[in-house]
Amino acid sequence: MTASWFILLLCAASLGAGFLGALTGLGGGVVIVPVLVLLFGVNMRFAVGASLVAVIATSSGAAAAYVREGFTNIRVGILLEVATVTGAIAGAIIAGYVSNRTIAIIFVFALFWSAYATLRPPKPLPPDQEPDAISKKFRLDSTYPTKEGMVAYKVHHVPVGGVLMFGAGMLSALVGVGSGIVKVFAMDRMMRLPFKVSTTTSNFMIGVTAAASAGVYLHRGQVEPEIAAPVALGALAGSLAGARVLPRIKTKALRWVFAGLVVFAGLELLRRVWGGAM
Amino acid sequence: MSTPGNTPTTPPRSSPPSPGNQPGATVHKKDLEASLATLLTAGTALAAVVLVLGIAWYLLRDSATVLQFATFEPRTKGGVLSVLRHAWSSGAGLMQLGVVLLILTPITRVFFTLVAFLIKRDWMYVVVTIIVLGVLLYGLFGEAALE
Repeated sequence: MTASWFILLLCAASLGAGFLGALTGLGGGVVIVPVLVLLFGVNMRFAVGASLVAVIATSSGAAAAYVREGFTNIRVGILLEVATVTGAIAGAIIAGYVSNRTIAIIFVFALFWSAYATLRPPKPLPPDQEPDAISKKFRLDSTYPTKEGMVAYKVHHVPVGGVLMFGAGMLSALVGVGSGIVKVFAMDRMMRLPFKVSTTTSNFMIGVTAAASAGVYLHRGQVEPEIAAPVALGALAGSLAGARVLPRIKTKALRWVFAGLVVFAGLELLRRVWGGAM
Repeated sequence: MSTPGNTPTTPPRSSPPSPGNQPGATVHKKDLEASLATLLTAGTALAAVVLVLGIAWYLLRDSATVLQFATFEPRTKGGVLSVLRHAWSSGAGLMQLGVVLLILTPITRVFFTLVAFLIKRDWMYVVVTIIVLGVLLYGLFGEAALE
């Protein structure tokens, strides 16, 4: 394939990936890596590097919109970022020592978890008003806007959240995804932040986490401009378009189609790993 | 985003749900949120423009190049400084500059969060933010130590 076709097709494919990622809430990374590896024959290392850049682009684009609404808890975000960026650097170091096959298998695990979480969104938990010593020390408790005005919430289990966030950072760096699913799981389920606060704070953190490992990969030569530039641009445009369309469409059927595609891509990746093509 | 916006006027957040209070804090919060949002939009928009220009340049000059990425053979090793040095030499160089601008956007945001905590003399979070920034800068510039 000549460069012009390669770049234009990559732009188009990433546009679609960013669009679907925004509509289903899965983010772009989960789609971009399999698109690059399976459709464009790109090596897993380059795919991870390019995907991380796209993750940063879509996160920054979306965060700008959310941040204005006042849901994001910056203190929680910045405190947990200590864990995610450290995890990301650790993941980037580990990535230098493991094979493409290992990375592919971890990626498929992340893929299946994402598909499951898309189809089975967790039921809202009742707010927990018990005070928490660590949360108090770091002044994490805050308020968020609801239809009834500002509502206060309390934050819990910060150490558990920190450990999960370290894992989220590591996963993000190893396989080139935003790990939003893990971050939301940690904040919503474990730390008991309101769901909307969890998702927007997660988005706030995703770009910062990905930037930590992207720097390492840039230095290592895993970020090729011919791949990363069209992928980031396409994913950014696609995610912005997706965010525009989102309030006006029903996403249930789309989620099923998307989860189906994701599972198919995961199985195809596994087949290649087993067939020795990776 | 709640918080570098948490002002000294904000009462400790251990009070039970109290709808619609803290008008002063909210106003302050909104200001900071708006400027952080503007920063993110500006950084992303700038990067997007550079990416478009880089891609256009590349397509005009190097469109017949045959690309092959099936095997991992890094061609563009080198960190941020080397990208800045080669940004104006080719379409690929300019594309990589756009990529670096994207990577720098969230890092810049962390830096501004640090400034916000400094202005508020919130020393605990100044320290927390410096740690995050330190790890980010290590990823960006200290990679040589990882090789």
